[in-house]
Amino acid sequence: MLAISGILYVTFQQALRTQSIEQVEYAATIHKNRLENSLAQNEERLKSFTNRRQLRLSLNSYNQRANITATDFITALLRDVGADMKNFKNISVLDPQGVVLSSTNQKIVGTSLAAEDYYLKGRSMPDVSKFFFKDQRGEVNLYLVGPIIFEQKVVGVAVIESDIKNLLVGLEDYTGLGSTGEVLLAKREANGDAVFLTPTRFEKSAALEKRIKAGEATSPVIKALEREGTYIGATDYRRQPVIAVGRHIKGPDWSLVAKIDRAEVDAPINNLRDTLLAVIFMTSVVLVFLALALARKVSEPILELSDAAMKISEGDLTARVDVATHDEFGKLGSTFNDMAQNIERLDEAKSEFVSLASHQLRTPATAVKGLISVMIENYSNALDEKQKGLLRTAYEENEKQIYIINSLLDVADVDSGEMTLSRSEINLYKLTKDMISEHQQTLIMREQKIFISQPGTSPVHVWADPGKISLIIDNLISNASKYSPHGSTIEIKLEQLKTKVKITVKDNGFGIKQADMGRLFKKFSRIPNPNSVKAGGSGLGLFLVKKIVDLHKGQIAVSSKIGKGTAFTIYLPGKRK
Amino acid sequence: MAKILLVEDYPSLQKLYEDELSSAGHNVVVANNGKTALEVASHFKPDLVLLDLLMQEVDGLGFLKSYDGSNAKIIILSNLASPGLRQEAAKLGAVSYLIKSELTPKQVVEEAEKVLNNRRKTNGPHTAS
Repeated sequence: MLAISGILYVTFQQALRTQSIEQVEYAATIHKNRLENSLAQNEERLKSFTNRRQLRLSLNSYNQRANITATDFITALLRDVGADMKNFKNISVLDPQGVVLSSTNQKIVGTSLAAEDYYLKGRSMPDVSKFFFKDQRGEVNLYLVGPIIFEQKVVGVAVIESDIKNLLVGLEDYTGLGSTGEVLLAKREANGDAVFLTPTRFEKSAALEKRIKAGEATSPVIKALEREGTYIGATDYRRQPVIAVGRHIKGPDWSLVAKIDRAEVDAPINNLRDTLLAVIFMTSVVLVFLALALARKVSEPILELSDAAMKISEGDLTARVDVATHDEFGKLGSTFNDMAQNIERLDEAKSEFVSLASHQLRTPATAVKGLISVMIENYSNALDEKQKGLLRTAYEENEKQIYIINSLLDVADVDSGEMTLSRSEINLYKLTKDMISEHQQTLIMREQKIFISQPGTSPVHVWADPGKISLIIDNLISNASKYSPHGSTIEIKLEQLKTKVKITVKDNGFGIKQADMGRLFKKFSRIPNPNSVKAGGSGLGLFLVKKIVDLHKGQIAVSSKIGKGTAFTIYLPGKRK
Repeated sequence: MAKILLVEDYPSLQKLYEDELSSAGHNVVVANNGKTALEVASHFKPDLVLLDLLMQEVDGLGFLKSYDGSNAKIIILSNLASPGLRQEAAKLGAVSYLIKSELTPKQVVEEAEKVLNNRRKTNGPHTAS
């Protein structure tokens, strides 16, 4: 598009210049012809006048004896020639001494013009010559001076004085030359400089004043003195780039230049160029917006799909997309929704299965617990210590089994959204103490110490589900103990904040790697334990803790440093709503 | 010595609880489901019913709804622990709610005797899971 615009621009510019050159050429040619004709005509007239036999005879006779009859005759001849001529101010005939014998201007008759330069020069020339002078009013006059010769003797001089304006009729008519075009006329000086003969369009006082140095090669006025032609790269007297046509007036060695500013010639195409650039710019802007809109139209459904896929991957299986278009996106959207529906169904089926299987497992596990406990309680007399030890281990393992089954059922409840809270006012301090006592044996075994503190005087209370909060505290104590070395310390801090209750369980154990932080609360994720490869639970504990905290509309945070320990912080809404 | 109706459908648990209760000197009658339990209760007139919830025919809650034994104390003995079930059972007149997997048979007997010895209706000590 830009290339085409460029080509069009150059083409139009050429066309406009060609047109302007034609107009300027026309003006130059017209004025040259007019000027040359005018000059030639007057010269011709003056020549034929000076050649008139009666004039020469009369002047000769006057010179011999200054008779009035001769003067009268000369005056008659003058009138005759003056009636025939145009573009002149006056015609005079002077005697060889320079005294005006006769003139169309009666005022100068009898005066001597002998001191005038044009007279002196013109008199000595064999033929008609031209001279220019400025008069008192600043106007340039042209003098045609022709010697009147009789029998090889100068018997008088004829002078035609004309205002140059009269010769250059229409030179100031700028029709067809726009607002900057004009026709210039200049004569060559002895040193090669060019001097303007006429006022210019932009300098009224230029006539015989404005001078262009011979060395100014780009000036059309100088160029025209050397070679006629069309100058595209010319610079005029105002230092403006112009398109000029130069002509040389051979007789008087003048240059005639018609020219117009290039800026004016190029104005339409430049305006067009500016308009085009504006249009191109606006079109580009519109296109960019259209492209963005299109990109949005294309990317929006993809982004929506991506969002929904993200939600599903994060566990929200209810996420669906709303792509109602009838194109590929619509198809992809509906396929995606079908897929999500299937995933949701599968997940439900999985939860149901886990729930059912756990239920089924729990009853026999409960029976085993009963059976072993009866063995221990009722028949311990019949058993030796080793047998009793084995039974106790079996009992403990069975307890773990039941714990895992219960966790699985809790998870199934969470998954199916069936986990509900049965809230009551809990003395958190007492509940925590109870949970600690459940772990007492293990802690003693591991030589671990546990401290519970609550700043302030009144015991910390929370409006929550006691069973679920027990599960949280139980899990956090269990984890703190499991992931700490022998002889370490666990601190539990209970704080009553303004609207919340803060529970902190802090250990100085192994710490959690940054890489493991992300999956800490994920279902079935277990962090490697330096204490024992086999130790650890179902990978459900922290998942349930997080879910229960969420269910209470609380927050859980964890901070950990490898080798320094881990702190879990839980915030629960403190007051009954 | 009390008359105890044990409603439990899982054979080994049935036997465990029955043995433990009998050993403690109680007169125990066993029913496999709610329907049988209702029939038995009508003439056995128990002082205490240990009632499982998940059973064939008539389940635990079904038994509670139909049973009109104003003298008998009823203890739920189940592995189900949802707050909703607890509330429902309490509303229907159960005085205690025991989770099987948390207790040994001996502890069950102890809980039962606590209820028998306690004239006042209470929700029992093991309301939390």
